[in-house]
Amino acid sequence: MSSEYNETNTKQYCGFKIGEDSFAISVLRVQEIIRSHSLTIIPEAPTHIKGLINLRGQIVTAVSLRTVFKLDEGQSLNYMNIIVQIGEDLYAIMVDEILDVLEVSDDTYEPTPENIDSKLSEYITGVHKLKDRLLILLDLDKLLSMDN
Amino acid sequence: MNTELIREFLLESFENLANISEELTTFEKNSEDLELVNSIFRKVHTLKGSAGFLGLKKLQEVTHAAESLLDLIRDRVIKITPQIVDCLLEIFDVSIEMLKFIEKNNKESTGNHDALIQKTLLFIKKPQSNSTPEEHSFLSGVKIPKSLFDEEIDDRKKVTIKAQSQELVAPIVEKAVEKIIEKKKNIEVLQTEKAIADTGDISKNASVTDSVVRVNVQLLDKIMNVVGELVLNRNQILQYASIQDSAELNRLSQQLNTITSELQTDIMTTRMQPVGSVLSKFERIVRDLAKSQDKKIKLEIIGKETELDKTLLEAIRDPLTHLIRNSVDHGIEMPDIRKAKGKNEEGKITIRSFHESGQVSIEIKDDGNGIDPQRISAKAIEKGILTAEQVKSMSPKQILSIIFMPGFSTAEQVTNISGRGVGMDVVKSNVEKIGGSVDIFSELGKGSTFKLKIPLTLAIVPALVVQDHGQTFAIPQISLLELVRFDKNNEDVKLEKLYGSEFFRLRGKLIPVFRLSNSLKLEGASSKSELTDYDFTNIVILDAEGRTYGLIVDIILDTEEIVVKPLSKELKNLTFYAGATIMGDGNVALILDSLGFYNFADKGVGLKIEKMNQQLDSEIEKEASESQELLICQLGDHRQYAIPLLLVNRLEEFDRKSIEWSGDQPLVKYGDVPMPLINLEKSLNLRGENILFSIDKNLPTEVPCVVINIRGHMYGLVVSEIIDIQQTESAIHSDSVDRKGLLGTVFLKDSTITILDVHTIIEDQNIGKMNHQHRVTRKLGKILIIEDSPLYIKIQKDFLEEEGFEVFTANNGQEAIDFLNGDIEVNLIVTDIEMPVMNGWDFTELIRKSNRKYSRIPVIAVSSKVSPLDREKGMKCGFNEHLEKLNKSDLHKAILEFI
Repeated sequence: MSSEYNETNTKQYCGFKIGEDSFAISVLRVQEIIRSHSLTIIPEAPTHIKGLINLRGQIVTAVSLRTVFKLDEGQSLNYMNIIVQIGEDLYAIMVDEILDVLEVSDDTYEPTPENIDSKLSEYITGVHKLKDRLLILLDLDKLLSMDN
Repeated sequence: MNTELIREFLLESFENLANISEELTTFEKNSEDLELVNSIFRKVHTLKGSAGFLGLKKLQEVTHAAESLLDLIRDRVIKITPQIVDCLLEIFDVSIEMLKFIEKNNKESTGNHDALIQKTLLFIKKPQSNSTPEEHSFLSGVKIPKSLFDEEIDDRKKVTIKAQSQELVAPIVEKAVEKIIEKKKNIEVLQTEKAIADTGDISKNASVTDSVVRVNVQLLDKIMNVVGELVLNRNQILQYASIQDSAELNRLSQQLNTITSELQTDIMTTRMQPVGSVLSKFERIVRDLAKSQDKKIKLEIIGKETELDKTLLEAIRDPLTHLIRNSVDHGIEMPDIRKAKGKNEEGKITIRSFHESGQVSIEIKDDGNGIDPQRISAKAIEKGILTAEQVKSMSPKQILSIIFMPGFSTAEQVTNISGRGVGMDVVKSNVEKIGGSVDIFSELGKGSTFKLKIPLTLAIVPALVVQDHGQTFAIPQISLLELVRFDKNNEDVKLEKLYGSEFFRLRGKLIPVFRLSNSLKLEGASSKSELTDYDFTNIVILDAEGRTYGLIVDIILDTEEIVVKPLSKELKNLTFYAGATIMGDGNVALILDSLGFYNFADKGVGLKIEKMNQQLDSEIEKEASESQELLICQLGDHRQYAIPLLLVNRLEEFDRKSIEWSGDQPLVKYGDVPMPLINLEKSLNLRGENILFSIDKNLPTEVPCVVINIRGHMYGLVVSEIIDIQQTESAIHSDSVDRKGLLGTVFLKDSTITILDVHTIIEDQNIGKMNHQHRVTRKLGKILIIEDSPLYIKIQKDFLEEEGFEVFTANNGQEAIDFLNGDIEVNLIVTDIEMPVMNGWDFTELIRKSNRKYSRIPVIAVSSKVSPLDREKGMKCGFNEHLEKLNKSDLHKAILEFI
């Protein structure tokens, strides 16, 4: 994906917050971002799947990262949905807050630290150590192929 | 190599080769058809030409040989023979292999096909002289006669859009059409490239391409999706318009409705393909298979023009192939066998496709040997799929369908014709996956017919929209059987509760019902919401592969055309959903899958209910063993108790509100009379409270009751819960009884369960005494009961004493003889048959032969099962009557007759 790079070897990420932590996925994976949306609950679905959204005639599966990371479910009503496509399916990743598009230099990249929560580490490809925060890179494909 | 060009070449060549085999086999049958051989020749010619043009030497060599041979056949220099056909078919196969290699590796394979070429050339008497001069011009890469292109276009088996439908869809699919035009240009460009020398003919080409356009299926899929969304949009607008008071809006929305429906139909039509495109392939398969097995088979295909959605067509290709193979392999007999049977040596397989009640039916019929039900059942038993008893109770039709059971058909060998064979179970499941069905008809010796029913399309289906606990669900109408709605206060129609599950009696047949809210644990399912307090119960009766079940929902809304959208991968294992759809109000609704839901909700209850139906309705013969069936229920002390099932009349649930009190006696209106409800805990002096008398407010409002019939009066035994019905063959121990009202204990499933003595319990009720005459006041005669089961002794004794007889008992024939030798003279003997020490037959034979006074006492035999053979044997032994054990009224009649 050569287009992910520009001349100064930086990458663009879509940053977002869950609880106190900052996460990011490649901006190229993001189709759009929408506000909290009316959900159709799917009875008997895995707990991290919160329901289905009608996105202009397309059906989107909403996934709560809070549940995946086993945080409390006290998500505010003003959560945001990051719409991504994985395979043929559209997913809405429910997050607390969007941090805008972050331009991050490759120099700040570090592999997943040992001490990171084991609940998270399997879905993480690495981190970027920024001045004010640690940006955790999420692996969407791993996230949405889990069996829990 | 120019990949774009190669791709086009591959596309075209695969298409040409795809139907060339069947053309050849058709030509083999009818060698007069010049047009056909010309068409074959042209295709090979094109292939060879293009191969040369692209520098594919090997392919060019092989196809050149074929072309030369075909040329001679075309000119009638050589007559076509099966050997020649075989050779040509081999070349076509090799060519396809080569093309596949090129597709994968983007270069030609290095395989050697000289032998094949030599073989081909052997058929040609004058090898080089006959080759056409134009071939050389091909090697230099230019000249292709115009006719070739016409042929190509005619033969396009891809989906075509007729100009007429184009106009209709125009406003919506502008973009799509643009793409089509672009594509068309591509085709023309390609043709121009190839036919540089023939520029003058291009205008003629264009006129053909104007009326027929080749469209990418992916594009059609996309258009279909867009139309699907349009349909949803229309639904929303219709819904909105219906609540607005605007005539103009209504008119417009109606117009939109009409146009959308028309568009939907037309788009659907574009996806339709004649089934012939799949069926024609079978010409070759049948020919090759028959040949390899030395069978003679004629294949007839009727209704090639019947159209089916392309996706569905793809989906039935493998199942059909398997069925055809099956007909050739197992259906049609060897020629000598056929001859011996007086049949035509040549077997016949007919494939017929036609429209039938909104579906497409495809029949595969052979005039072979048919399916032998006995062999099927023997194999099923041998493989352990079914037990001999199960098979015995099956209808011939059910036996035939055993072949669709998983594990029945053995793994087929991998063949070069149809690839890896699939089992019949896979055939069935594949067809059912697309909403179709498979049926078998077979007559031994005359042949079999497999009938596939396939829906016309998948994407948009009519569905029933229901609501439960505020959530909306759609149920595809194809699985809907009927809707039942009844007043909750209606005493005659109600749900029955068994094994902790609910059942509904639909025209006499007990079907399981599930509450959507319970099964899916809908939010607030446990608390009574406003919705569930409706006075009506709505049951949606559904079909799940032949099983019928009911689904209780709060509200049945309407039927609607819904667009089925698949659920994301993350949700794929929720098999009780068939997908999701967007409703008129813009909300997403889940689509329920009838079979998936049944399997999910049922959890094995279905098997029990089948058993239950047999027991309660006595539809199926009782098993011969001397087992006793016990109804297990739980009482207030949280222990389980059993009631002999043959005393049980019905299982009911009564609303607390419907229970009336007469003094301390609870009564409930049952039928037309008040029925006393019995507090078992109090009668038996048990710990714990009867749920009816409990003051605990959290108890359910429904009170489960076992209704029994004693001496023509109904009593309701109030229990905490009805658990199960169990069969036991273990003995009843009566020595452990510590109080009145208990019959004994029985060892069941690793625990000891106490059996209630229902007669005594009723006797001890105050109401019982008022209801009937006391038994000692009547003395109609003396009866001896011979029976080894304490339970039956007890039941029969109580029954007969109630009738006014004095009853004596013996545990077996020997004891009975001893008794008869004593002082008491009895008027009648009622004997069981299967007993230890001396059985009923021997006992009766013995007393009949004796010269004692008891030799003439009438004997009524009772046994679990009476077959005509048993009856005959019984009469020989000297039974006066032989009755079924559970038939009280017959016993009553018989007794009166003999006393």
